[in-house]
Amino acid sequence: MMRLLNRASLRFYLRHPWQLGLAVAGISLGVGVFVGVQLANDSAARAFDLSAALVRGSTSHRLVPIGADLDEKVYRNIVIDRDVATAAPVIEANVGIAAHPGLRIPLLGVDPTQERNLRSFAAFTPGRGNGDLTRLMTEPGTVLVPAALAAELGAEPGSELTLQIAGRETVVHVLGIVGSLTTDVQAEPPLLADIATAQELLGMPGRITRIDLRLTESEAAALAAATPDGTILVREGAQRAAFDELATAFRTNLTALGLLALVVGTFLIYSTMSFAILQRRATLGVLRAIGVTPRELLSSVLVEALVLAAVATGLGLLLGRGLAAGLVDLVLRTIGDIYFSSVVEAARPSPWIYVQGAALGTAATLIAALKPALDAARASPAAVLRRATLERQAKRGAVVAAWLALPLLAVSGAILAYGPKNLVAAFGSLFAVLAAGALLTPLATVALMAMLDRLLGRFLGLPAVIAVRGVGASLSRTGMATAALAVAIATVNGVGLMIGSFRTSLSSWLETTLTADLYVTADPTTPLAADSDVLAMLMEVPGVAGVSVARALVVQSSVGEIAVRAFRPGARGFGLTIVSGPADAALAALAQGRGVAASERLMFARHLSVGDELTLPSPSGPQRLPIVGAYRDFNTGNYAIVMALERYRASWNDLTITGLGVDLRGGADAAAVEAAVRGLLGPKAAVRIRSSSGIEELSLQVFDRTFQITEVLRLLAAVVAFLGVLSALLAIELDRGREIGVLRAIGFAPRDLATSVLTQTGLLGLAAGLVALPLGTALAALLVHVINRRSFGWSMEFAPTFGPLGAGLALAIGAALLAGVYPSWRASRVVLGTALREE
Amino acid sequence: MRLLLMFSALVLAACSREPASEDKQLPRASIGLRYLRAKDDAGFARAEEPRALAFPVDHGSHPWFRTEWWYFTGNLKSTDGDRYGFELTFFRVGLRPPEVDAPGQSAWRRDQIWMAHLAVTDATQQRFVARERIARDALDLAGAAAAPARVWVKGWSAARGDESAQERWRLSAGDGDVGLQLNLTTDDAPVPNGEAGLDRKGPEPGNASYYYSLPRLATTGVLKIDGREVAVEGNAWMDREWSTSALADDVAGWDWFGLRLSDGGSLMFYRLRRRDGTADAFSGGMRVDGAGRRRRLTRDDVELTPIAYWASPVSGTRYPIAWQLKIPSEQLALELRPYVPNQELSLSVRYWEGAVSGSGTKRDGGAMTADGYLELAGY
Amino acid sequence: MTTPAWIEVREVSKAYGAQPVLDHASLAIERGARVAVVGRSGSGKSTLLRLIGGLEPADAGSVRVGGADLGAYSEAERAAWRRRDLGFVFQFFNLLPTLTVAENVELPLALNAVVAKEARRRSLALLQELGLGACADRFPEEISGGEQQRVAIARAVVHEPQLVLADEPTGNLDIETAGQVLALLRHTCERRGTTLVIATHSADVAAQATRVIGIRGGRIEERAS
Repeated sequence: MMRLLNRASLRFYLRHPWQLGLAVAGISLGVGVFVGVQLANDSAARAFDLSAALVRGSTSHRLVPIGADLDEKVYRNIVIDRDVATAAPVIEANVGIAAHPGLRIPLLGVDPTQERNLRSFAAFTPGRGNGDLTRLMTEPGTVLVPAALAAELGAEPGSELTLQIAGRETVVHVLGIVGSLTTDVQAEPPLLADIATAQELLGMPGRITRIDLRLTESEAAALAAATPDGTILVREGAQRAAFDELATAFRTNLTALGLLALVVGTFLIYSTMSFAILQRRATLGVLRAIGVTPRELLSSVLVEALVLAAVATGLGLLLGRGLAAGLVDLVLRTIGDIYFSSVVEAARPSPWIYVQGAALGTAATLIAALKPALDAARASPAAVLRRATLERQAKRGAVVAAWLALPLLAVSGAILAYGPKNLVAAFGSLFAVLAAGALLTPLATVALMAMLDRLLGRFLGLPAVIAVRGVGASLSRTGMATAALAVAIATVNGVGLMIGSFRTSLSSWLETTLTADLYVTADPTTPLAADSDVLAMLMEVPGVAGVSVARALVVQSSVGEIAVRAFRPGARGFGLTIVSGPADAALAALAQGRGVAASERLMFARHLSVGDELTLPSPSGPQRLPIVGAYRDFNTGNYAIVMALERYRASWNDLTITGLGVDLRGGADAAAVEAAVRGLLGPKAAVRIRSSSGIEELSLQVFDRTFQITEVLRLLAAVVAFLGVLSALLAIELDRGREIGVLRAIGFAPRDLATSVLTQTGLLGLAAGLVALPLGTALAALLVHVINRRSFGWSMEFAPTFGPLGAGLALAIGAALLAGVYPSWRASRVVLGTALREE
Repeated sequence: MRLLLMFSALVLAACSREPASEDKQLPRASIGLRYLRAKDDAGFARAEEPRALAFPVDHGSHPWFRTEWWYFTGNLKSTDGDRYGFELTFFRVGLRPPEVDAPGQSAWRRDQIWMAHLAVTDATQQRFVARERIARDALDLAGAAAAPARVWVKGWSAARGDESAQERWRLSAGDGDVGLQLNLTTDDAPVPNGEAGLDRKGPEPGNASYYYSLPRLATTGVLKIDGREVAVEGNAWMDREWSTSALADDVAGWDWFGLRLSDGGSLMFYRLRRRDGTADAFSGGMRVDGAGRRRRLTRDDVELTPIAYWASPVSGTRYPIAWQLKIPSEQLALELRPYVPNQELSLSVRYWEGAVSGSGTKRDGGAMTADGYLELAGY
Repeated sequence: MTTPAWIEVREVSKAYGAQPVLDHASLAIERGARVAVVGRSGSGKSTLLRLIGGLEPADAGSVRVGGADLGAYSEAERAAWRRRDLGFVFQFFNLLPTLTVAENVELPLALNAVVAKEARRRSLALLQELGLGACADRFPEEISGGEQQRVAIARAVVHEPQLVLADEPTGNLDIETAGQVLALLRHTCERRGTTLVIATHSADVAAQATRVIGIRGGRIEERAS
């Protein structure tokens, strides 16, 4: 019996190949996008983990200085007096490459004899330039160059490289190229030098940057209890927490977008399967009449779904694989922007993702097929359901669905209000809102069509009424498609609005933050010694109205590693947007050195509130600094705080600076001022001078690049939705075959019919587009106020504009019209005789 | 004759996690061998002619030679009679001769790299643990002093008590659950090997080392293995050797025996193993009898036959760990067996070095027993 | 045949796949005639009607109605012709389910660009005439089969076409209702002078015709009326 039923199913699909195609396409695309995103995600994550691990090795802790660097005797103290065998001295600083102005790469000075148990640089792997290690240790000015950079510079063993270090140009000899490891990861380590060479190049004899350690928990506890003076012990990885949390949040967002594609794909499957059942309702009735049990019908449909799922999921996995190849670069680049890291190549992702995708695809198909299968099982043996009855049921269903949306919305709200304040909960809430939107769509469509019927019927006449009524009257077919389209367009709208709001906020934040006209920045690892004389002379430069001074550094605080910006503001103040209450009081306290302002990312990630104290190690002992306010910070780097420069100098005894902000008088020649500034700082000072407009431009460029992948995913969601609409429309038009025949018989010209079909699909698109307006706005609000906040700790102004919404509406209608092209062509080409004979 | 366990290569081997595939084709010690054969010895002195060894000065470092080591091995017993073995070795390799002047400003710009190996064998528990430390001679992390003699790598050291003629050494090393604190003394004078201390390893002049031994140092102290501390006593052997280049190209490795015999004397013999498996003509050794009379041994004086093998589960290398040793001229025959089959040091340099004991017969048909260390390199 | 033929089917052949339905069939029908086409199921009755209505083209031969060669028309011209001059009644009524009874009847008027108000008036008047006044605002599914077929007749004649084609108009009705519907169709056409061609296998229906023709073996033959 089952064999016959299955054969009947198979033949049904063979006779309706487009239906088969669309069902397969729905699952394939959904699975494909999901798997593609996951693969790209995983690949990028592994690449970054591995490249971080490569530099980190099996290091478990770092002993870092409280001030700028460490006396190398501390290393002796650790190794000899404390008998810690696995300890490696490290010097790390960024250096410039003369041939590539603006390029700064890390120079890592290590003792190669101590690396065996900590790191596994390819450089130290015998095979490539291996004999050079003796020379690396004995010959001053020798380095190993990362392969990628070597290729860029044309450097090869034996060639020379001019580095810019602390304003001086120094020629170093390339001993070898740091090649790849034997794993499939291509990570690019930094420029490598022996620790002696690094001390000499950087002009810091007797000093090291840190000590990398591999400690057991008890050893770490013992060392932490009594660290050498001026040092603290930090767990490896802790200092990357801010970056890691950011990158993880980014990947979570991508995963959610991938899941969304799968959800929309599920709608597509549902609508296709439902229709396949509807079409066979007569057959099913007959089968029931001759004694097939509901259970048999149910399993027949589920088997059908399973076979579809197997084929389509397989295709989806292939598609995902292809898609991942394109996506991974985007993901890598974005995470690279977050990490401020050099680009690494993708690693091979976990094969488990394919299993995951296959399981999800199959589950989605079965879930989508469950209701149609139950419908099939319930097919009345007495009589074929009349179409009208069916549509009445669909309308009742729409009402029920709309009622169901209410508890879903309540659940969504409850999750936000009372659920855990994490990203997963936020996405749960978001999906609930989307589902509610989808459930409301059919009823909204009916209501919209009823309204249009009344409004337009009078003016456009019956053909238009036929089109309008057709939408409402085919709810059993159109409901799901419209819902899928609405969800997809809402996503497009929501993400668009969010990006728009974000960009607006970023732009205005940049304007507030960039208080000076010209920015002079030095690398924090090589600060400038700019005494008050230099500043006074700077003020004398024609065209200079004022100067602000900053010292940036990274410290190990009581809440982990944070970036500190000690700042003496110029005429335009701190440039902080205080988001934690009265700005004036906070800024006054900050200026007076009564505390620090913390970035809202830090506040959010570490659950801090105004008034909490941060403890920062300083050369004159731990400093307890209250948080006087939170400020908006769209930087993706470390968690950050701002304090008054005088407050910093009071405890850190450090008069160096890393940044100058120069205010220009109106009409001043920026280029002339820049030249004068360079002259004052010395011609080869390792500084970068940029105009505030240049920084703004660059920031927005990075921003746009960051959201490129989001745009791609928006597009993919739209494609899936488009297929959904196409599938539903084809279903409707097929079902309307006879009706079209009648219309032709009473005098509708082919073009009239095409117009009618296109009007109808356009109306579907309109309905979806209209539903997507409020839904998309709600989504954007969630993204802006909840998701972004929980992901990145960024707050921003929610500034909905009609631009993205209008584009979404146009996209919805456009997609629907496009999807209507084939059905309308088909309708106009319908062979009348055949259509009419079909009863 | 541990000389050939050379580790200039340690810079390579020590710093890399995995040997690259090309090197996997060769035993690891061969990487060391490659360095011992290095021709780029410009500026280094070579062991070309016999010289008078002067003590205690020569216990100190000879940086004009590329490589040098202080090798202590010993066979000890606890008060319960349990047998233990230990090895504590300090290797020095010169990255360049000391006269090359490139001062620089950095304290790290130094010429020497030091490596130390610590191994403890427990025959009763059938345990063997080996550890390693490496440092360059910067910041006094590692180094050697002459008066009184002392060598150290990070926290491990071997130090002579004073500059008197009596040899008194203090060994101290530990790494977590393994370690030793031992006092070594003897009234004997060091035994120069080869031709008054010049030990030739190949036909080319300069392919030789300066080499002397202290075969029988009375030893007391404490050993630690697996966290257990055991009071021990017994005898230790000290080997000192320095050279710049020693091995001929066709020598694949060596089997070294350092044995204390029950006649009160000692036997040191190394067989240089050629690539074709035969003993090289420069194989040799030194026999000291109970009365202190010395006799140089050449290749044909000693017959060696492996009688048991052990394959390392770590490296897969198969070592001949038990031997039949005969000196026909003395009618001496010994069968030597290890305390524990697995005494492979799988460190930056991989080799087998372990405590052995043996028994057999001597000229008068009486029983002869022996204990000491066996070193298998180049497998 | 002295009256000039208004519908002229000349040497028409039509096959569906390998199955010939009409084979060089010829037929002439004068204006105002009431013709019944009889024959067994599958004999080609419906095909003949669809050819006359221009709903599908003939494989060979020509179909002229009122002097115009339908085959020479473009699809749009044929549609325009149908909209103006043709009414079609189907066995399965084929009312548009999404339009009310009155709107279904208005449809041909709307297609002929009659203003909405006038169309409404005329459709209501006609429905009244057919005794369907009460059903005007109901949807087709809400009225009986007989009523639906009467609405279909109203839709077929409301724009006063010159030709009404009815394909088994009573095939789906009980005898009593069938009689009523048939009488209605006949009267409506008679009063307007509309030419009526009915395909049927019912002798009762055929009896209402002024002329009866049969189809056998793809050829048309006159039957006694």
